[in-house]
Amino acid sequence: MTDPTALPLDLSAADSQGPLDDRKFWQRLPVKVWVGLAIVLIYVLIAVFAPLLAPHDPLAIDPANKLASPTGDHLLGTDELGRDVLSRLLYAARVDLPIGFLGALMPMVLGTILGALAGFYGRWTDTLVMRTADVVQAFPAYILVIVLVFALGQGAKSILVAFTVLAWVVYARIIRGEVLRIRDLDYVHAARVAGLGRLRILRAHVLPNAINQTLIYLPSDIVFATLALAAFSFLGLGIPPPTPEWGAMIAEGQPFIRTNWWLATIPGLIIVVFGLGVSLIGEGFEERLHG
Amino acid sequence: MSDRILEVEDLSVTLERGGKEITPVQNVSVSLGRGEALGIAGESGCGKSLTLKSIIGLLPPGAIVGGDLRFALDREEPISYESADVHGHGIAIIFQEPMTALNPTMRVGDLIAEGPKIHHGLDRREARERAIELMRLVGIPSPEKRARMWPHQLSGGLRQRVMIAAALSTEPKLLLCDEPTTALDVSIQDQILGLLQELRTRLDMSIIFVSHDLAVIGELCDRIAIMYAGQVVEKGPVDEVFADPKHPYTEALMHSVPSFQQTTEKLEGIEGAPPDPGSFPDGCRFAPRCRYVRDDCATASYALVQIGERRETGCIHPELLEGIGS
Repeated sequence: MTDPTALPLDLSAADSQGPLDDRKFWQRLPVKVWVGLAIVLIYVLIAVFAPLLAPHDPLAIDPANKLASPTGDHLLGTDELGRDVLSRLLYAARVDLPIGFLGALMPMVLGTILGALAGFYGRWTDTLVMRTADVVQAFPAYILVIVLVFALGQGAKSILVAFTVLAWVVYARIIRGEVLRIRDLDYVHAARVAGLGRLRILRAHVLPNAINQTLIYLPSDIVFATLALAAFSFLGLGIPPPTPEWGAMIAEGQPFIRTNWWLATIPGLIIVVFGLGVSLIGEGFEERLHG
Repeated sequence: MSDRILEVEDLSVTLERGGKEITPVQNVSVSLGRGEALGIAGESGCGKSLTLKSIIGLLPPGAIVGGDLRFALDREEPISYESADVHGHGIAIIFQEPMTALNPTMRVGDLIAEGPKIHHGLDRREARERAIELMRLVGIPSPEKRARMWPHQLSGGLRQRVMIAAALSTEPKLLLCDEPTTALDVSIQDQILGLLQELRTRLDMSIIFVSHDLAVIGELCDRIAIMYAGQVVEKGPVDEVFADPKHPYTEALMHSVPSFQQTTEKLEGIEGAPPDPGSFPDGCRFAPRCRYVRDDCATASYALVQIGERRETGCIHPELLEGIGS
């Protein structure tokens, strides 16, 4: 597109030649991102509409009909208390997804704030934050979760607190490194010379440029949080029964792996596919940003 | 009322490098009149950029600044200032690399609008209009459209104009230019120089222009200060200095610049390399590379001596110089 007022030598046609044009960014995303987004969207829809989709009450016990094989009424059979497995799997999405997402987002927010302060203000702020990070990283994760579960009681809250306390460290390190690099770039200097306040510079000029790196890390952390929740539940440290949760369902189904193999296998597969979907999104974005 | 807008007196910058203290800028004194353009020239590492950055307080953490910096914002005598006093009030800066000098996550219109929003209390819409006005002032075609663009969508020349517009948004009386044309190709370089020249007269703005490119300084500046090894070795009006250098280093620099007229003569480089700030030689710092060197040069202490009406040189034997023509 030519611009009649453009200076002849100014190569003004370079408008929109940029590699990351708004619309083109989405158009040029790799297929794997779309596949991943589709998978995650299906999981989200299942979580939202679980009450409509589930054929039975996930908590309704029917001892007379326990450990039933799949039938027309119970598409995936029943568990050892006679509860409908399909309904429990659907309802479990309402527990696992929010904890998976929040379990990654909360550490990201905390880590981003602490890492940014450490990198931008330096001196004792930096020392305090980074030494705390060292201590957290040296601490055995499972011990901390056990302590928190004892202190706060079993449940989603303890799990999220534990994830936040443990996982912010990685985000803080990423952000601190980026902030240290960015705060000496010319545009930050220019903002200082323009007389902008320090917080304004941090918020508008440093953070938006530092955050890309954490966004690439976020999907793998969501996968990690989901898997960790399953692992904690499997060990009895997670969501207390009778609330349906995929990790707990694996644990409950494990004794019957020879007779009713699907009880433990299907929730396992569900977690794997979810992790795959989220990972595909993360990988695709990373390729797009670095490629 | 004074004609002076900036006075730099006996400036020195001390940094720590590898556990050792180095002083890459020493005894630098320059002054600048209202509406005047001063060029600071020299090889990379001569301290010209550090000198510029100390005027606005952009030195790396831990740097120690000695000497006195005085700035006159209104029609008054220049007074000593802290860098925070002039941030957003009176002094602005533009940089060499237009890609790293513009925040990639901000639309250029918003970027330019930031200064007016904070310093003049304009609301969003007013600041936007001011940004478009500034973009028009620096010659950006269809500014309404381009205000919504991201820096990477603009060409190098336009990016440089955006940087200038952002610098002008705080209505500075002094614009510091850190090699702003070095990264541009020659035709765009010319346009940017022309723009700076025009803005300078239109806005009655003073300019300090740091560059290794003598031709660029010759085009824009009234006076020039040549720096070598952290010191100013020669000062004076640009045309006089270029026509008749009074310091062997200036002369050598002139000889190393290719020109269209010069077809037969071989281009002369300067023997040796500029000294490292960690090991400046005693006496005259240029002596080891100087073709006119005499015995007393090794013990000469640094001082700028007045020659003629408006010239100063750091050389103790300016009479030995043969001049450019020879």
